[in-house]
Amino acid sequence: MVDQQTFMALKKGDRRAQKAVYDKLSPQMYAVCRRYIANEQDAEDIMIKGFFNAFTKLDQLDEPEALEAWMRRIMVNECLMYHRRNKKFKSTLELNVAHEVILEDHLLDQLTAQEIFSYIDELPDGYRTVFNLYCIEGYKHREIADMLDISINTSKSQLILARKRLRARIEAINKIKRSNEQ
Amino acid sequence: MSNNHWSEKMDGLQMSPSATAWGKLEDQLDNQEEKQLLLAQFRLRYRMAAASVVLIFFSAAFLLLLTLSNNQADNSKYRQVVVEEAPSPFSARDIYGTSVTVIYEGVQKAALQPKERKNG
Repeated sequence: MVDQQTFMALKKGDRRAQKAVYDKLSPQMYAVCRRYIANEQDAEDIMIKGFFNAFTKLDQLDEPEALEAWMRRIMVNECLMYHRRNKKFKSTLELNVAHEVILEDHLLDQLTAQEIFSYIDELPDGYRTVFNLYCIEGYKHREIADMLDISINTSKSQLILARKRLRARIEAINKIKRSNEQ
Repeated sequence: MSNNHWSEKMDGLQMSPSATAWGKLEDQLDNQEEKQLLLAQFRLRYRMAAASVVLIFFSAAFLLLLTLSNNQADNSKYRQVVVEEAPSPFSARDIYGTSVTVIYEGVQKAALQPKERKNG
């Protein structure tokens, strides 16, 4: 968390405070951007843009406690804008949304954050974005549909396909691990 | 599957951006500061120019009104008042060594006497 003194300096545009906050939050913010954007360079550019927007619009924020969550939201919005600009959701396939795929918690518990990230990173842009927004950020399908300018059914379809792929990937890895142990 | 479960796991994930990222951000922030400075200077110049135009307009309007109001009738009144209210501090006696009455009598006498013709 950023202390009050640093926060006030940050609001005045103090470069040292900006550097301190960047050093503290950039690893987390870069990870957020990388979860949404597969290309490392693009993710870094988005992160820089997010920090720039945050530093130049700090007058909208009053509490230093909210800085981290606020910046995270800026990063997510920047990533979504990047996808919208690049029209990543134009060729989305709508599935029968009745076939919900369950990704069991016990499969997940065995994985580290880095492993989960690497599996998410393998997903196509559409699957990854909906999965991130629904499963990690906690948005509803209606909100996701509004944010990405897609239908609710498309959002649900993308999530089902993402879960399906993740489950298959995790099970395959577990199978290899088990056979190695034997 | 709980959403919180994923969130908790992924919140802890940290990845290092490249070493040049801060430099790029700093450049953008510097450019922004320069732009803001230029914008502030432009606004100040614009306001000063606008104030000058307003000042010139009102000065011209004031001078025009003054000229129009300063007509002939007003001038004559002004001169009359000045003559009546500000008499000369010198009397006829101070100037000619005699009173106005004596001068007047002298002028009358001169008018009654036949004029002397100068010879050749």
